[in-house]
Amino acid sequence: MIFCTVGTTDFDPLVQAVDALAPAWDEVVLFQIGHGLYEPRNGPWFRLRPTLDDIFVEASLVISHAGFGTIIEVLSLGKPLICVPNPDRYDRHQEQILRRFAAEDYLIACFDLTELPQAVALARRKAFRPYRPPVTTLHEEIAAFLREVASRRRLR
Amino acid sequence: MRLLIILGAGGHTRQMLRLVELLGNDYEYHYVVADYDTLSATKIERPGPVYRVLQPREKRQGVTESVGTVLRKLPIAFRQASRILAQAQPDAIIGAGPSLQIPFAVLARIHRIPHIFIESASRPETLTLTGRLIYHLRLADRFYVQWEHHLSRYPRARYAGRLL
Repeated sequence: MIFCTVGTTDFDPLVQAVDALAPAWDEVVLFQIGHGLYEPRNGPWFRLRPTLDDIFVEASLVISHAGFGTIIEVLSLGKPLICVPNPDRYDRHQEQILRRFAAEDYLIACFDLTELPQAVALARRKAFRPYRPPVTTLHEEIAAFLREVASRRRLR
Repeated sequence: MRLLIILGAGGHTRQMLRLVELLGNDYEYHYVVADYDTLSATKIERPGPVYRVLQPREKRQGVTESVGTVLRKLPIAFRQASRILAQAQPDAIIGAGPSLQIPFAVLARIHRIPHIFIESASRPETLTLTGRLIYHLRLADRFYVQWEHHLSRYPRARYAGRLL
């Protein structure tokens, strides 16, 4: 199953583009369309669900908007991911992490919906780099800071 | 020690939940989530009270068009934040945005509650508006960036790796 997801916003151009391509693919396409107006004709769809994890697990490929939360969720499950930034959103900053992650081969970034068929073909043969949460010492620094706060409080 | 964790929504939530997982069981956790985000609260693995607040700036809006919305919502957001602080009585506040963290940052200054801001890992190129405000108005006791190269532009920031 190929899963097309737009998150909690709406992204009709993506849903429409995937819907148009769906008959040519040999897999069922499932759509999550959020608050979009366009209802897909070539596959089952729903608007929102409390969690998409179980669907991500079932999917052979995820085509999604570029929300950072979604990206991390899909990559953590080790699924091939094509990300399309939503040009309607004022929040263009989404593209920053998308370019970075695409350059590192974690995912495929598709900036132009007319190039989606090529992106899907590429996703089928590409060796994605597995995503692992990066190493950090942030929590250690914060724990040290909190110990300082606690000892200052005892002194008062 | 009681920590008020600003989960926010979406990707902000994921970063903070990784931090909570790494911080471990030594703390008592309370959480703040955006009222429109029904999902974030279900992903919490170290349980604690969850408070819902208004998001002052809508994501779809730009800086100028959001001024009206922000002016209308800000007083409500401040009231919500002060009620939550009175209820939770946190020893420290930690969050990675979004804008719903600003009222907490201001009130933390006023009430002298230690406050840590972590700029979102999703911003390798530019900081968020919330991040820039908190940095320049010095509304955090610790300001972390998750991409090391930001340190050259924001020398008072700290870097200790990336959560996601």
